Amino acid sequence: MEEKELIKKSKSGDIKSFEALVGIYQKKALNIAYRMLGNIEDANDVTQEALIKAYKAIPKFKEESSFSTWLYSIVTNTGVDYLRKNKNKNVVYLDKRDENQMQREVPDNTNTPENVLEKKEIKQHIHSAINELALDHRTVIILRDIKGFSYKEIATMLKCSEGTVKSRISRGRAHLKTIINRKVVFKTN
Amino acid sequence: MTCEKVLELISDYMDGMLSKEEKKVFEKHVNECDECSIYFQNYKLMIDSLNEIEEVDVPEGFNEQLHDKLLKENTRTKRRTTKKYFSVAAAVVILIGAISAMDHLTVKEGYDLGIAQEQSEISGLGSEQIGPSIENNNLLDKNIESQYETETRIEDTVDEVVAGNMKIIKQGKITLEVDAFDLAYGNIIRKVENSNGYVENSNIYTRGTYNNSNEMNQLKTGEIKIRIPEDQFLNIFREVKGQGEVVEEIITGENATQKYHDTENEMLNLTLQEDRLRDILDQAETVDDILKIEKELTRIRGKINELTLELKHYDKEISFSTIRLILQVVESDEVQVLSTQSSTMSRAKENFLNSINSIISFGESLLLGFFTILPLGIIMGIIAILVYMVYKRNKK
Repeated sequence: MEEKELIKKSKSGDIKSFEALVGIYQKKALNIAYRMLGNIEDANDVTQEALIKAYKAIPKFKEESSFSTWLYSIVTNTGVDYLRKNKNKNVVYLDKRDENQMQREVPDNTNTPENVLEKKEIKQHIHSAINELALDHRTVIILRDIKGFSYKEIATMLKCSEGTVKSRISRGRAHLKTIINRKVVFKTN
Repeated sequence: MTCEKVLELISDYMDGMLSKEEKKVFEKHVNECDECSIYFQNYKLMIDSLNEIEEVDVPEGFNEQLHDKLLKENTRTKRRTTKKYFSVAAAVVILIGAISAMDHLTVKEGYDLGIAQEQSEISGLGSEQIGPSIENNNLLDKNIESQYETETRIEDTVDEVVAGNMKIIKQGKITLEVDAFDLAYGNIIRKVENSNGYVENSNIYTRGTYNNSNEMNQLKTGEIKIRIPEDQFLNIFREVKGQGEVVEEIITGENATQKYHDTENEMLNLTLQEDRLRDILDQAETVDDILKIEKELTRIRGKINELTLELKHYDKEISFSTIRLILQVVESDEVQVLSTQSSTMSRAKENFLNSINSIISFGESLLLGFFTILPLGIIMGIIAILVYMVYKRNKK
């Protein structure tokens, strides 16, 4: 069945059509949530909640963007809400660091001599490093580098300009690299 | 290009967002600068690693869990629409409740009025058992009811009534205090019988009171219901009053003309209908038809009989007026002076009983009030629970 038809049926409340529709995207949705939250249980809860939200909101879906973009934006927002709500519980990620501070931090790191890292080392630390990123940065890195969305799609999902997305990605990556570097150096030393 | 510029552009470079020239300059610097080269390599490795992060599968039972939640959500939205109707229904119920409560209150006012009148009569009459239904009916039916204090006005009215051929049910009530019970009683009975009236009901009893010297006095009291021909009513009423000291007198005239004529007309209609049915019965051919007609005839006949009885009752009430008489014996003044203390005692006793009675009646009205509010209370309670539930759900 065509996606359009499934959307149409879902809008009238047909559960089977909705399940078929989200069946294609739910794995990716869950993985976005997983990267954002850092553990599978929370990711499961958030994804389920997001899908229910989508079911409730689908009559209002205007089909201006693609369904997947719309769905992932709900997932991301639900994840962000969840993290904000459970801020006290979740101490894994680095708390809000304002952008200026971040900028200062990045050049600082470049002054210290850097070794070529091994991919194995990076992979070892990348998950916890992602969790240490500030929420804004984490979200864009997940969407861009892990899920491969375009700047435009991310801008639609996060309801911000492409310029904002671009600068967030740039800073996020730089910060992520700093974190990984530190982790690898700490370990090797 | 500076090293700092490289750091600034590296992200855009990775995503292929640099112009051709920028890209050239960028690559040139990275190739020449060792530090930037290392940084670039590590950066690329990081991006690659991110890209290569494998997706995890959805947890087991994910679909089932989602399905259950969707079903729940579906019923919830359905319930939300029914909830809308429900709140409308609740509003209607409240409205009806309020209206009926108001209705109830107004009826109760009328009822209270009746009771008040009744009570004022009782207070004058002592322990007389009166039929309050008649007074109440008068009040509630809004029939022209007249109660006259002076005789002259009564006579005028009665004359008018007779002239206009109106159907008036006359009733009188007298409370008399007499010195000698048997004498007064005998006189009254004789007068009633002379004017072709009769005593419908007579209840005589004695009550004992103690005087000052602890002697018991037997005081007779009589409650007599007298029926006399309508034209003799005022005559007898006056005669009875002459037998002692009047404590209370009430005359009511219920105008039953409208009711009487309505009943007459209804009966006439039924009689016509009966005649017609009899005609039809003569022409009827099948057994089934005959049976049906006869059934209908029986019904009409029964109704006619009922109305005939009603009319007869009216005729009787109209042609024979009712006088309720209460005869009370009082002790002579002399004795009363002697027995001040006992009268104080009896008054104390009376007051004591009165206050007990008022406590009882207060309790009764409390109970009555409770049951009056009960249905409304139940409805309000249900609404309150609903509202609470809705509130709770919305909060959720």
